[in-house]
Amino acid sequence: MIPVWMGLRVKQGELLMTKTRKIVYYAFFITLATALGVFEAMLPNPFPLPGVKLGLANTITILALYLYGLRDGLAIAALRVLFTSLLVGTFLSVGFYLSLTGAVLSTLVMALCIKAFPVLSVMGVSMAGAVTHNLGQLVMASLLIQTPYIFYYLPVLLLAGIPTGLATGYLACLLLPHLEEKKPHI
Amino acid sequence: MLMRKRWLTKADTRLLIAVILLSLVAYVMIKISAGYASAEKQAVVEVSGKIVRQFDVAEDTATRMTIRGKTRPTTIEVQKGRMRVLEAFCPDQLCVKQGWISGPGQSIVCVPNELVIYFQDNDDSGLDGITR
Repeated sequence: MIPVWMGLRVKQGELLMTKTRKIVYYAFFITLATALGVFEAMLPNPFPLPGVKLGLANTITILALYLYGLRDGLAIAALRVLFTSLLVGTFLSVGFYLSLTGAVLSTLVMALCIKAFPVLSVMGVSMAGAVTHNLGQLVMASLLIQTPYIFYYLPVLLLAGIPTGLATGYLACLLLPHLEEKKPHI
Repeated sequence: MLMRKRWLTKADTRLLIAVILLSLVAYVMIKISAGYASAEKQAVVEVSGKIVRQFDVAEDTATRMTIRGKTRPTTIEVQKGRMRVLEAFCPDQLCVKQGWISGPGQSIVCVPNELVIYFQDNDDSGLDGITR
């Protein structure tokens, strides 16, 4: 018998849920998201517009949200931004605050979409996330540099969120069934 | 396990259309707000939200100035009622690539340098800055 105080709990019909297991899967998801973020920062931007990128790390946030829920998704998204900024060298710069605002806002909105609008597919949720990510960045940028003029960029960023959101959503859509089959419990 | 649709659902399409409409509305609103042209205008240079230079621009104003931004100097050129960023020491040079601006409501923003330059009408001098 393993004593309860050692951090082991048994869910009915499921695997043992240990603290170690949780730490490992957290690390796995954060590492994956960070690696994708760093990888993307190394590539030349395929879009001729500043602030527009594919956002591959968003795929990981979507997976975390669908598999584990808001709390874990939010933690993974925020830590991903932190570690990516430390590795790329943008920690506490303007870009860092923009990313953090975008990531947190988009994760909240995606979680809301999953809960409140089950009619949306994974790609729809991802698109909502990408658009709000861009929106959050723009609001934060206007607060940081104290000008409303930056909102001239709003239509471009809104439209840019559609293809990037659909692309990352499609990736998540392909991955989700495989992960759900052997869902690691954390 | 819940079967999920692989492709876009009806709700997704609606969301997509809503986003496109929203961006169109935003675009039209910006065009309207920037639409009123005026001969008398002022050029404003802001760094970190504070106005550092403000001057009248007429058709024959021609000047160059170097502004100290948040991190690096930026050179602005004013000519024939237009202005542009001539030289900036930032990595991606987006402000330089944007070229000339001429009308009230148009602006050039440099995020790493926290620098904004824009034109405003001489008439609405009631509001000349934003403070925290």
